[in-house]
Amino acid sequence: MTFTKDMKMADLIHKNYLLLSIISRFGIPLGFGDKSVEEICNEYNVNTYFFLDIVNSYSNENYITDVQHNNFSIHSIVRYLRKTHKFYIDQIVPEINCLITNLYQNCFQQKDNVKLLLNFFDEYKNELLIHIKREEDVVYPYVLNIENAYETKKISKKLVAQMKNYSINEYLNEHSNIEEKLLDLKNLIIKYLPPTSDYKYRNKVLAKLFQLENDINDHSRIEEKVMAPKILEMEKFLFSHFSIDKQNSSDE
Amino acid sequence: MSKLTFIIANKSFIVRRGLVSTIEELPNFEVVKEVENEINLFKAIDKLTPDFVIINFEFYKSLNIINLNLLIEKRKTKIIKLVDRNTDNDFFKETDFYIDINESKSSIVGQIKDIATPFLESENISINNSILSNREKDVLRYIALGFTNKEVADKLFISIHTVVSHRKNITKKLDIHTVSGLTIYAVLNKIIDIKSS
Ligand SMILES: [Fe+2]
Ligand SMILES: [Fe+2]
Repeated sequence: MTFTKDMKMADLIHKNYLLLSIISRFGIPLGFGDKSVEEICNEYNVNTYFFLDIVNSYSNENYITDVQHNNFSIHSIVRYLRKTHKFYIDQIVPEINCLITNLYQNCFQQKDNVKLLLNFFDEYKNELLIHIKREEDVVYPYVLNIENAYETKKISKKLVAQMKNYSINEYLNEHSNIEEKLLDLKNLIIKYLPPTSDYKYRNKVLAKLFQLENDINDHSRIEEKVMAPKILEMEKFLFSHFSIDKQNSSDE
Repeated sequence: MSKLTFIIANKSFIVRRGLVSTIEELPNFEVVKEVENEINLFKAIDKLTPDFVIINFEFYKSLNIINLNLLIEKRKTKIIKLVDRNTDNDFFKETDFYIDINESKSSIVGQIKDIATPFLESENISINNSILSNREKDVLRYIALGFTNKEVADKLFISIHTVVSHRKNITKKLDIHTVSGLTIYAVLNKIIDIKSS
Protein backbone atom coordinates (compact mmCIF):
# COMPACT_ATOMS: atom_id res chain seq x y z
CA MET A 1 0.00 0.00 0.00
CA THR A 2 1.03 3.57 -0.58
CA PHE A 3 0.88 6.16 2.18
CA THR A 4 -0.86 9.40 1.28
CA LYS A 5 -1.01 12.87 2.80
CA ASP A 6 -4.55 12.44 4.09
CA MET A 7 -3.87 9.30 6.12
CA LYS A 8 -3.55 9.53 9.86
CA MET A 9 0.06 9.70 10.97
CA ALA A 10 -0.66 7.16 13.69
CA ASP A 11 -1.76 4.62 11.06
CA LEU A 12 1.65 4.75 9.41
CA ILE A 13 3.22 3.42 12.57
CA HIS A 14 0.54 0.76 12.92
CA LYS A 15 1.28 -0.41 9.40
CA ASN A 16 5.05 -0.43 9.73
CA TYR A 17 6.58 0.19 13.10
CA LEU A 18 10.09 0.50 11.61
CA LEU A 19 8.98 3.91 10.37
CA LEU A 20 9.28 5.08 13.97
CA SER A 21 12.98 5.73 13.59
CA ILE A 22 12.40 7.52 10.28
CA ILE A 23 9.78 9.79 11.76
CA SER A 24 12.06 10.74 14.65
CA ARG A 25 14.74 11.69 12.15
CA PHE A 26 12.39 14.30 10.77
CA GLY A 27 12.12 15.69 14.28
CA ILE A 28 8.52 14.59 14.61
CA PRO A 29 7.68 13.28 18.11
CA LEU A 30 4.99 10.75 19.00
CA GLY A 31 1.61 11.87 20.28
CA PHE A 32 0.00 12.69 16.93
CA GLY A 33 -3.59 12.26 18.06
CA ASP A 34 -5.74 11.86 14.95
CA LYS A 35 -3.87 14.37 12.84
CA SER A 36 -3.13 13.57 9.21
CA VAL A 37 0.31 13.21 7.69
CA GLU A 38 -0.02 16.59 6.04
CA GLU A 39 -1.10 18.34 9.22
CA ILE A 40 1.77 16.91 11.21
CA CYS A 41 4.30 17.69 8.49
CA ASN A 42 3.13 21.29 8.33
CA GLU A 43 3.28 21.55 12.08
CA TYR A 44 6.92 20.47 12.13
CA ASN A 45 7.96 22.26 8.98
CA VAL A 46 8.62 19.12 6.98
CA ASN A 47 7.94 18.97 3.24
CA THR A 48 4.99 16.58 3.03
CA TYR A 49 5.93 15.10 -0.35
CA PHE A 50 9.50 14.52 0.68
CA PHE A 51 8.24 12.83 3.83
CA LEU A 52 5.87 10.62 1.84
CA ASP A 53 8.58 9.74 -0.64
CA ILE A 54 10.85 8.61 2.19
CA VAL A 55 8.31 6.56 4.12
CA ASN A 56 6.85 4.98 0.99
CA SER A 57 10.15 3.93 -0.45
CA TYR A 58 11.25 2.67 2.95
CA SER A 59 8.22 0.41 3.15
CA ASN A 60 8.14 -0.65 -0.47
CA GLU A 61 11.22 -1.24 -2.56
CA ASN A 62 9.29 -0.92 -5.78
CA TYR A 63 7.76 2.39 -4.92
CA ILE A 64 8.32 4.94 -7.65
CA THR A 65 8.74 8.57 -6.72
CA ASP A 66 5.81 10.73 -7.68
CA VAL A 67 7.63 12.94 -10.20
CA GLN A 68 4.95 15.61 -10.09
CA HIS A 69 5.72 16.31 -6.48
CA ASN A 70 9.43 15.70 -6.22
CA ASN A 71 10.38 19.34 -6.23
CA PHE A 72 11.69 19.21 -2.68
CA SER A 73 15.02 20.88 -2.14
CA ILE A 74 18.49 19.40 -1.94
CA HIS A 75 18.61 21.15 1.37
CA SER A 76 15.87 19.04 2.85
CA ILE A 77 17.34 15.87 1.38
CA VAL A 78 20.77 16.56 2.84
CA ARG A 79 19.29 17.46 6.19
CA TYR A 80 17.53 14.11 6.26
CA LEU A 81 20.62 12.19 5.09
CA ARG A 82 22.70 13.83 7.83
CA LYS A 83 20.12 12.89 10.44
CA THR A 84 20.27 9.34 9.17
CA HIS A 85 24.04 9.24 9.50
CA LYS A 86 23.62 10.48 13.03
CA PHE A 87 21.14 7.73 13.72
CA TYR A 88 23.67 5.13 12.57
CA ILE A 89 26.54 6.55 14.56
CA ASP A 90 24.73 7.46 17.76
CA GLN A 91 22.15 4.77 17.93
CA ILE A 92 22.09 1.63 15.91
CA VAL A 93 25.84 0.95 15.65
CA PRO A 94 26.41 1.28 19.43
CA GLU A 95 23.33 -0.88 19.99
CA ILE A 96 24.68 -3.65 17.80
CA ASN A 97 28.08 -3.35 19.42
CA CYS A 98 26.49 -3.69 22.81
CA LEU A 99 24.42 -6.71 21.75
CA ILE A 100 27.43 -8.54 20.35
CA THR A 101 29.29 -7.80 23.58
CA ASN A 102 26.38 -9.25 25.53
CA LEU A 103 26.43 -12.29 23.31
CA TYR A 104 30.14 -12.61 24.04
CA GLN A 105 29.60 -12.41 27.77
CA ASN A 106 26.75 -14.88 27.75
CA CYS A 107 28.23 -17.75 25.87
CA PHE A 108 30.72 -20.30 26.99
CA GLN A 109 32.05 -22.50 24.22
CA GLN A 110 32.10 -20.02 21.37
CA LYS A 111 33.74 -17.10 23.16
CA ASP A 112 36.81 -16.90 20.91
CA ASN A 113 34.67 -17.02 17.81
CA VAL A 114 32.24 -14.38 19.00
CA LYS A 115 35.26 -12.24 19.75
CA LEU A 116 36.14 -12.49 16.06
CA LEU A 117 32.69 -11.24 15.14
CA LEU A 118 33.13 -8.35 17.51
CA ASN A 119 36.36 -7.37 15.75
CA PHE A 120 34.69 -7.84 12.40
CA PHE A 121 31.91 -5.48 13.36
CA ASP A 122 34.52 -3.02 14.55
CA GLU A 123 36.14 -3.09 11.11
CA TYR A 124 32.75 -2.54 9.57
CA LYS A 125 32.11 0.40 11.86
CA ASN A 126 35.33 2.06 10.75
CA GLU A 127 34.44 1.57 7.10
CA LEU A 128 31.05 3.10 7.71
CA LEU A 129 32.55 6.07 9.53
CA ILE A 130 34.97 6.77 6.70
CA HIS A 131 32.14 6.55 4.19
CA ILE A 132 30.01 8.96 6.20
CA LYS A 133 32.86 11.39 6.80
CA ARG A 134 33.62 11.62 3.11
CA GLU A 135 29.99 12.42 2.34
CA GLU A 136 29.61 14.97 5.08
CA ASP A 137 32.92 16.71 4.42
CA VAL A 138 32.98 16.66 0.64
CA VAL A 139 29.83 15.50 -1.10
CA TYR A 140 27.08 17.24 0.85
CA PRO A 141 28.79 20.65 0.92
CA TYR A 142 29.31 20.32 -2.83
CA VAL A 143 25.68 19.50 -3.62
CA LEU A 144 24.47 22.32 -1.39
CA ASN A 145 26.73 24.75 -3.25
CA ILE A 146 25.41 23.49 -6.57
CA GLU A 147 21.84 24.00 -5.45
CA ASN A 148 22.67 27.44 -4.18
CA ALA A 149 24.29 28.46 -7.46
CA TYR A 150 21.36 27.02 -9.37
CA GLU A 151 18.79 28.92 -7.33
CA THR A 152 20.58 32.26 -7.17
CA LYS A 153 22.08 32.04 -10.67
CA LYS A 154 25.30 33.20 -9.09
CA ILE A 155 28.40 31.07 -9.02
CA SER A 156 31.63 31.48 -7.08
CA LYS A 157 35.05 31.06 -8.68
CA LYS A 158 35.74 28.33 -6.20
CA LEU A 159 32.73 26.32 -7.29
CA VAL A 160 33.60 26.76 -10.96
CA ALA A 161 37.05 25.38 -10.23
CA GLN A 162 35.53 22.53 -8.31
CA MET A 163 33.07 21.68 -11.07
CA LYS A 164 35.89 21.40 -13.56
CA ASN A 165 37.41 18.56 -11.58
CA TYR A 166 34.49 16.98 -9.88
CA SER A 167 30.97 16.00 -10.79
CA ILE A 168 28.26 14.14 -8.99
CA ASN A 169 28.91 11.43 -11.58
CA GLU A 170 32.16 10.72 -9.83
CA TYR A 171 30.31 10.36 -6.58
CA LEU A 172 28.06 7.79 -8.23
CA ASN A 173 31.07 5.88 -9.49
CA GLU A 174 32.97 5.91 -6.24
CA HIS A 175 29.96 5.44 -3.98
CA SER A 176 31.05 2.25 -2.33
CA ASN A 177 29.00 -0.65 -1.36
CA ILE A 178 28.94 -0.55 2.42
CA GLU A 179 26.49 -3.41 2.79
CA GLU A 180 28.88 -6.22 1.91
CA LYS A 181 30.41 -6.66 5.34
CA LEU A 182 26.97 -6.44 6.87
CA LEU A 183 25.74 -9.27 4.67
CA ASP A 184 28.76 -11.32 5.63
CA LEU A 185 28.20 -10.74 9.32
CA LYS A 186 24.60 -11.86 8.98
CA ASN A 187 25.62 -15.04 7.23
CA LEU A 188 28.35 -15.78 9.73
CA ILE A 189 25.82 -15.52 12.53
CA ILE A 190 23.04 -17.40 10.76
CA LYS A 191 25.03 -20.12 9.06
CA TYR A 192 28.58 -20.48 10.26
CA LEU A 193 28.93 -19.65 13.92
CA PRO A 194 28.23 -22.99 15.63
CA PRO A 195 25.32 -23.11 18.09
CA THR A 196 25.90 -20.86 21.08
CA SER A 197 24.58 -21.35 24.59
CA ASP A 198 22.95 -17.95 24.28
CA TYR A 199 20.33 -17.45 21.64
CA LYS A 200 18.57 -14.32 22.89
CA TYR A 201 21.38 -11.92 22.09
CA ARG A 202 22.29 -13.77 18.96
CA ASN A 203 18.76 -13.27 17.66
CA LYS A 204 18.70 -9.65 18.74
CA VAL A 205 21.99 -8.93 16.98
CA LEU A 206 20.55 -10.40 13.81
CA ALA A 207 17.34 -8.43 14.01
CA LYS A 208 19.33 -5.21 14.41
CA LEU A 209 21.64 -6.12 11.54
CA PHE A 210 18.63 -6.64 9.29
CA GLN A 211 17.26 -3.29 10.36
CA LEU A 212 20.56 -1.51 9.73
CA GLU A 213 20.94 -3.15 6.33
CA ASN A 214 17.45 -2.15 5.34
CA ASP A 215 18.02 1.37 6.46
CA ILE A 216 21.34 1.71 4.69
CA ASN A 217 19.92 0.35 1.47
CA ASP A 218 17.20 2.95 1.61
CA HIS A 219 19.67 5.67 2.52
CA SER A 220 21.91 4.82 -0.43
CA ARG A 221 18.90 4.77 -2.69
CA ILE A 222 18.07 8.33 -1.69
CA GLU A 223 21.66 9.39 -2.29
CA GLU A 224 21.91 7.74 -5.66
CA LYS A 225 18.41 7.88 -7.08
CA VAL A 226 16.97 11.05 -5.58
CA MET A 227 19.81 13.42 -4.72
CA ALA A 228 22.32 12.63 -7.48
CA PRO A 229 19.93 12.93 -10.47
CA LYS A 230 18.75 16.34 -9.29
CA ILE A 231 22.34 17.51 -8.95
CA LEU A 232 23.20 16.14 -12.36
CA GLU A 233 20.48 18.29 -13.91
CA MET A 234 21.64 21.37 -12.02
CA GLU A 235 25.25 20.77 -13.02
CA LYS A 236 24.19 20.54 -16.66
CA PHE A 237 22.35 23.81 -16.37
CA LEU A 238 25.26 25.55 -14.66
CA PHE A 239 27.76 24.33 -17.24
CA SER A 240 25.81 25.88 -20.08
CA HIS A 241 24.50 28.94 -18.24
CA PHE A 242 27.95 30.04 -17.14
CA SER A 243 29.66 28.45 -20.15
CA ILE A 244 32.10 26.49 -18.05
CA ASP A 245 34.50 24.23 -19.92
CA LYS A 246 34.92 20.82 -18.48
CA GLN A 247 38.63 20.35 -17.93
CA ASN A 248 39.98 17.34 -19.68
CA SER A 249 41.77 15.00 -17.41
CA SER A 250 45.55 14.82 -17.43
CA ASP A 251 45.76 11.95 -19.92
CA GLU A 252 44.93 14.33 -22.81
CA MET B 1 15.61 -30.25 -17.15
CA SER B 2 16.87 -28.48 -20.26
CA LYS B 3 20.40 -28.91 -21.53
CA LEU B 4 23.12 -26.30 -21.58
CA THR B 5 24.48 -25.78 -25.06
CA PHE B 6 28.04 -24.94 -26.10
CA ILE B 7 29.78 -23.78 -29.24
CA ILE B 8 33.48 -24.56 -29.41
CA ALA B 9 35.47 -21.98 -31.34
CA ASN B 10 39.05 -22.95 -31.97
CA LYS B 11 41.34 -23.15 -34.97
CA SER B 12 42.86 -26.39 -33.81
CA PHE B 13 40.96 -29.58 -34.63
CA ILE B 14 42.69 -31.47 -31.80
CA VAL B 15 41.78 -28.90 -29.16
CA ARG B 16 38.18 -28.84 -30.37
CA ARG B 17 37.85 -32.61 -30.18
CA GLY B 18 39.38 -32.60 -26.72
CA LEU B 19 36.88 -30.07 -25.46
CA VAL B 20 33.92 -31.75 -27.12
CA SER B 21 34.69 -35.11 -25.58
CA THR B 22 35.29 -33.52 -22.18
CA ILE B 23 32.03 -31.60 -22.21
CA GLU B 24 29.93 -34.42 -23.54
CA GLU B 25 30.91 -36.59 -20.61
CA LEU B 26 28.89 -34.24 -18.47
CA PRO B 27 25.17 -34.88 -18.22
CA ASN B 28 23.01 -31.96 -19.39
CA PHE B 29 25.86 -30.37 -21.33
CA GLU B 30 25.84 -30.49 -25.10
CA VAL B 31 28.13 -29.16 -27.82
CA VAL B 32 25.94 -27.95 -30.67
CA LYS B 33 28.63 -26.75 -33.06
CA GLU B 34 32.35 -26.53 -33.65
CA VAL B 35 33.66 -23.57 -35.63
CA GLU B 36 37.09 -22.45 -36.76
CA ASN B 37 36.57 -18.92 -38.07
CA GLU B 38 34.78 -15.68 -37.26
CA ILE B 39 32.09 -15.88 -39.95
CA ASN B 40 31.00 -19.34 -38.93
CA LEU B 41 31.12 -18.43 -35.28
CA PHE B 42 28.81 -15.43 -35.73
CA LYS B 43 26.47 -17.45 -37.93
CA ALA B 44 26.33 -20.26 -35.40
CA ILE B 45 25.62 -17.94 -32.46
CA ASP B 46 22.92 -16.24 -34.46
CA LYS B 47 21.24 -19.48 -35.49
CA LEU B 48 21.75 -21.73 -32.47
CA THR B 49 21.64 -19.26 -29.55
CA PRO B 50 24.02 -21.28 -27.40
CA ASP B 51 24.36 -20.77 -23.64
CA PHE B 52 28.15 -20.67 -23.90
CA VAL B 53 30.89 -20.15 -26.43
CA ILE B 54 34.23 -21.61 -25.42
CA ILE B 55 36.93 -19.81 -27.32
CA ASN B 56 40.69 -19.60 -27.04
CA PHE B 57 42.09 -16.25 -26.07
CA GLU B 58 44.02 -15.44 -29.25
CA PHE B 59 41.01 -16.20 -31.40
CA TYR B 60 38.81 -14.05 -29.18
CA LYS B 61 41.17 -11.09 -29.48
CA SER B 62 41.03 -11.27 -33.28
CA LEU B 63 37.23 -10.98 -33.37
CA ASN B 64 35.14 -7.91 -34.03
CA ILE B 65 34.23 -7.49 -30.38
CA ILE B 66 31.49 -4.93 -30.94
CA ASN B 67 29.61 -7.21 -33.30
CA LEU B 68 30.18 -10.14 -31.02
CA ASN B 69 28.80 -8.29 -28.02
CA LEU B 70 25.75 -7.21 -29.99
CA LEU B 71 25.11 -10.81 -30.93
CA ILE B 72 25.53 -12.33 -27.51
CA GLU B 73 23.82 -9.66 -25.47
CA LYS B 74 20.36 -10.36 -26.79
CA ARG B 75 20.85 -14.10 -26.71
CA LYS B 76 22.34 -14.14 -23.22
CA THR B 77 25.22 -16.20 -24.54
CA LYS B 78 28.23 -16.28 -22.22
CA ILE B 79 31.81 -16.37 -23.44
CA ILE B 80 34.31 -18.65 -21.74
CA LYS B 81 37.91 -17.90 -22.63
CA LEU B 82 40.60 -20.51 -22.73
CA VAL B 83 43.77 -19.16 -21.21
CA ASP B 84 47.10 -20.48 -20.09
CA ARG B 85 49.81 -19.25 -17.78
CA ASN B 86 51.28 -17.08 -20.53
CA THR B 87 48.09 -15.21 -21.25
CA ASP B 88 48.55 -11.51 -20.82
CA ASN B 89 47.00 -10.49 -17.52
CA ASP B 90 46.24 -7.01 -18.84
CA PHE B 91 43.24 -8.33 -20.71
CA PHE B 92 41.92 -10.00 -17.73
CA LYS B 93 38.57 -8.98 -16.25
CA GLU B 94 37.20 -10.35 -13.00
CA THR B 95 33.70 -10.49 -14.41
CA ASP B 96 34.55 -12.84 -17.26
CA PHE B 97 34.77 -16.59 -17.34
CA TYR B 98 38.06 -18.37 -17.89
CA ILE B 99 39.29 -21.90 -18.15
CA ASP B 100 42.95 -22.66 -17.70
CA ILE B 101 43.87 -25.09 -20.46
CA ASN B 102 47.04 -26.33 -18.78
CA GLU B 103 45.22 -27.85 -15.86
CA SER B 104 44.51 -31.55 -15.46
CA LYS B 105 41.46 -33.09 -17.04
CA SER B 106 39.56 -33.30 -13.78
CA SER B 107 40.31 -29.69 -13.03
CA ILE B 108 39.09 -28.59 -16.45
CA VAL B 109 35.89 -30.57 -16.03
CA GLY B 110 35.49 -28.94 -12.62
CA GLN B 111 36.04 -25.47 -14.02
CA ILE B 112 33.47 -25.97 -16.77
CA LYS B 113 30.98 -27.37 -14.31
CA ASP B 114 31.54 -24.52 -11.87
CA ILE B 115 30.95 -21.93 -14.52
CA ALA B 116 27.99 -23.52 -16.25
CA THR B 117 26.00 -25.33 -13.59
CA PRO B 118 24.54 -22.20 -12.01
CA PHE B 119 22.83 -21.53 -15.36
CA LEU B 120 21.05 -24.85 -15.45
CA GLU B 121 17.33 -24.40 -15.01
CA SER B 122 16.74 -26.91 -12.33
CA GLU B 123 14.88 -27.14 -9.08
CA ASN B 124 17.95 -27.69 -7.02
CA ILE B 125 21.33 -27.30 -8.54
CA SER B 126 23.36 -29.24 -6.07
CA ILE B 127 22.62 -30.41 -2.61
CA ASN B 128 26.18 -30.10 -1.42
CA ASN B 129 26.22 -26.59 -2.66
CA SER B 130 28.12 -25.09 0.22
CA ILE B 131 30.82 -27.69 0.54
CA LEU B 132 34.17 -26.51 -0.66
CA SER B 133 36.43 -28.72 -2.72
CA ASN B 134 39.92 -29.37 -1.43
CA ARG B 135 41.36 -27.03 -4.01
CA GLU B 136 38.97 -24.29 -2.96
CA LYS B 137 39.98 -24.83 0.65
CA ASP B 138 43.64 -24.39 -0.35
CA VAL B 139 42.80 -21.12 -2.06
CA LEU B 140 40.65 -19.98 0.83
CA ARG B 141 43.43 -20.70 3.31
CA TYR B 142 45.84 -18.38 1.51
CA ILE B 143 43.22 -15.68 0.98
CA ALA B 144 42.37 -15.80 4.65
CA LEU B 145 46.03 -15.42 5.51
CA GLY B 146 46.07 -12.23 3.46
CA PHE B 147 47.83 -13.29 0.27
CA THR B 148 47.00 -11.59 -3.03
CA ASN B 149 45.62 -13.49 -6.05
CA LYS B 150 49.05 -13.43 -7.64
CA GLU B 151 50.74 -14.82 -4.54
CA VAL B 152 48.13 -17.55 -4.19
CA ALA B 153 48.67 -18.47 -7.83
CA ASP B 154 52.41 -18.79 -7.29
CA LYS B 155 52.03 -20.81 -4.11
CA LEU B 156 49.62 -23.30 -5.64
CA PHE B 157 51.26 -23.38 -9.10
CA ILE B 158 48.06 -22.37 -10.83
CA SER B 159 47.26 -19.37 -13.00
CA ILE B 160 45.83 -16.19 -11.59
CA HIS B 161 42.68 -16.84 -13.64
CA THR B 162 42.17 -20.10 -11.87
CA VAL B 163 42.61 -18.42 -8.50
CA VAL B 164 39.99 -15.85 -9.41
CA SER B 165 37.50 -18.42 -10.59
CA HIS B 166 38.04 -20.42 -7.41
CA ARG B 167 37.45 -17.27 -5.41
CA LYS B 168 34.24 -16.58 -7.27
CA ASN B 169 33.01 -20.06 -6.51
CA ILE B 170 33.98 -19.84 -2.87
CA THR B 171 32.09 -16.58 -2.50
CA LYS B 172 29.08 -17.98 -4.30
CA LYS B 173 29.02 -21.18 -2.29
CA LEU B 174 29.48 -19.54 1.10
CA ASP B 175 27.66 -16.30 0.36
CA ILE B 176 30.52 -14.40 2.01
CA HIS B 177 31.95 -11.52 0.04
CA THR B 178 34.73 -9.83 1.95
CA VAL B 179 38.21 -11.05 2.80
CA SER B 180 37.70 -10.51 6.52
CA GLY B 181 34.44 -12.47 6.33
CA LEU B 182 36.23 -15.32 4.56
CA THR B 183 38.94 -15.25 7.19
CA ILE B 184 36.43 -15.73 9.98
CA TYR B 185 34.77 -18.53 8.06
CA ALA B 186 38.17 -20.18 7.67
CA VAL B 187 38.81 -19.93 11.41
CA LEU B 188 35.36 -21.23 12.34
CA ASN B 189 35.90 -24.21 10.09
CA LYS B 190 39.46 -24.81 11.18
CA ILE B 191 40.81 -24.19 7.70
CA ILE B 192 43.29 -21.86 9.31
CA ASP B 193 44.43 -21.69 12.88
CA ILE B 194 43.86 -18.36 14.53
CA LYS B 195 47.31 -18.41 16.10
CA SER B 196 49.00 -18.80 12.75
CA SER B 197 47.17 -15.84 11.24
FE1 LIG C 1 25.31 8.50 3.30
FE1 LIG D 1 26.51 6.77 1.02
